[in-house]
Amino acid sequence: MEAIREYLNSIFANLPATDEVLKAKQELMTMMEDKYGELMSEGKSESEALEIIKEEFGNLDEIADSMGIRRDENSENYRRLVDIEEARDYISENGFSQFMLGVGVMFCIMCVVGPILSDGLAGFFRIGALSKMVSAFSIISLFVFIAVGVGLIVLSSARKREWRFLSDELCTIDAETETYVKSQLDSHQVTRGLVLAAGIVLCSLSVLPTVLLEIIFSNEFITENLAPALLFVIAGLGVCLIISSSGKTGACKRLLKLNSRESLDEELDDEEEDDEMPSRHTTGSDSTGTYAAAASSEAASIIDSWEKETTRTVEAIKEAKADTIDQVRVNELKKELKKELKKELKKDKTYKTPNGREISPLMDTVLSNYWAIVFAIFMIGGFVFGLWGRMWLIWIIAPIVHSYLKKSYGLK
Amino acid sequence: MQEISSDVIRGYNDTIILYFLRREDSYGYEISKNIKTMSDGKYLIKETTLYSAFTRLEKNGYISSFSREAENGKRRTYYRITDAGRDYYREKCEEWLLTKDVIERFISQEAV
Repeated sequence: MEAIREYLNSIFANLPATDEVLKAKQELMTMMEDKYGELMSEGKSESEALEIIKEEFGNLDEIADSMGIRRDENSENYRRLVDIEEARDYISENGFSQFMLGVGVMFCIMCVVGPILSDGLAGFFRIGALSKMVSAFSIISLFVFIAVGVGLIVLSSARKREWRFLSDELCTIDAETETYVKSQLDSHQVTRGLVLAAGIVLCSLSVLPTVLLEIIFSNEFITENLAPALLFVIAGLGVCLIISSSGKTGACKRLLKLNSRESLDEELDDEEEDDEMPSRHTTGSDSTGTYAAAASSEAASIIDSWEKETTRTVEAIKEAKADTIDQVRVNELKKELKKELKKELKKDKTYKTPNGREISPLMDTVLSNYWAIVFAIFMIGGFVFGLWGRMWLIWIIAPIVHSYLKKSYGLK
Repeated sequence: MQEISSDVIRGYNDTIILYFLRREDSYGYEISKNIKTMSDGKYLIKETTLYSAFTRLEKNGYISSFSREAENGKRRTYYRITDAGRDYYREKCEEWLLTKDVIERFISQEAV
């Protein structure tokens, strides 16, 4: 009997819960139960009876009019059902793929460690041949690390491609899967928080060895070679932790969002932290639409953009020579982005209603691209005016201004 | 093996249901079972077809529905034919007899 209910639930999964729909569901359930009882008393087995019932059920289109639902040709009639086994696989595989991605990025970041170290080591060896070997070894290690890193990144995205249908097709999950995924999400949130925090701490502290060692030791090798190498190692570990932390929870969230997705135009990847605003997704076209959509996914898309920035930063490292200036700039960039991320995570995301006040087009564009504008101001201030020492303040002022603007335009 | 023409049967699902409701009030699965029995298993009506027919008939005022509790305590929706329903049934019977008469003139019983 439970199997029948599940079957019915899966068919009705993406229909609105109107009176007529519920009435139809109830009546169909009764009919199927009666049929089931009769088939069982005829001596059929449970699975046989279930098969027969499913076969002789019919399809939703026939009762669409009775329920007052309009079903056009491209409607969500043919949603692909993701059952609990698939969901389970997706969650664990995504966790592993994300971990692989993190390790790959870590290798890319750490590729410069070889050359840095050997640069100092070469100085130890007076014999020319040995020092040449060390230099050769350093170049080799650089490319090996890059190769391994890129290989892992490509591998992880290849594994993820297997699950592309989740965003390419309209899918649905039934009630049983939904409860399972929710419980998985809850149990992994704590771990995820810890790993993410550890990663951020590591990244922030990566500069520490450089500073400390410089104070303690005056040995040139240690300060100019070992310390920067350590910086990259620690930063690499931190980034790896940050990236791999979101593997399982990200998968859970994607699965849970499958049912509320209305059309293929909606993006599946906007991670929505706030569960109190389910209406935000369905009110796609308000007058403050651009801002509403941008703001609601902005906080969580920082996570996504941070990941992209990391990979971009990694590529920048690969292309640039391993100059100390570049190292410092890259590290600065990473720290700024991390501060931004931490602020976003701590910010109170209580965006009240989707129907905001009338917002002028200029304000709308400013707010939609707020962080890009702030970043541009920061860069201009730094490069054109050389005011790095003062411009960093913008990262403190910007969020305050941002939240003020949001409050004034976001409330009804 | 030949199956019933779905186009044709679609036009007479309502009539078939009313046939049973003329004799006595009934509910969903009972009617489905009766149809299967009465047709010697040649016509198995689908759950969704049956439900949409019920809602259509009720909307047009040919049947009315009420809730009744069975012996095992289960709540079921029962249907009862109305006077308008009886008239409609008679019309459909005449329509079928006419249709059958016309079409049979063009049907040949020979093999080719």
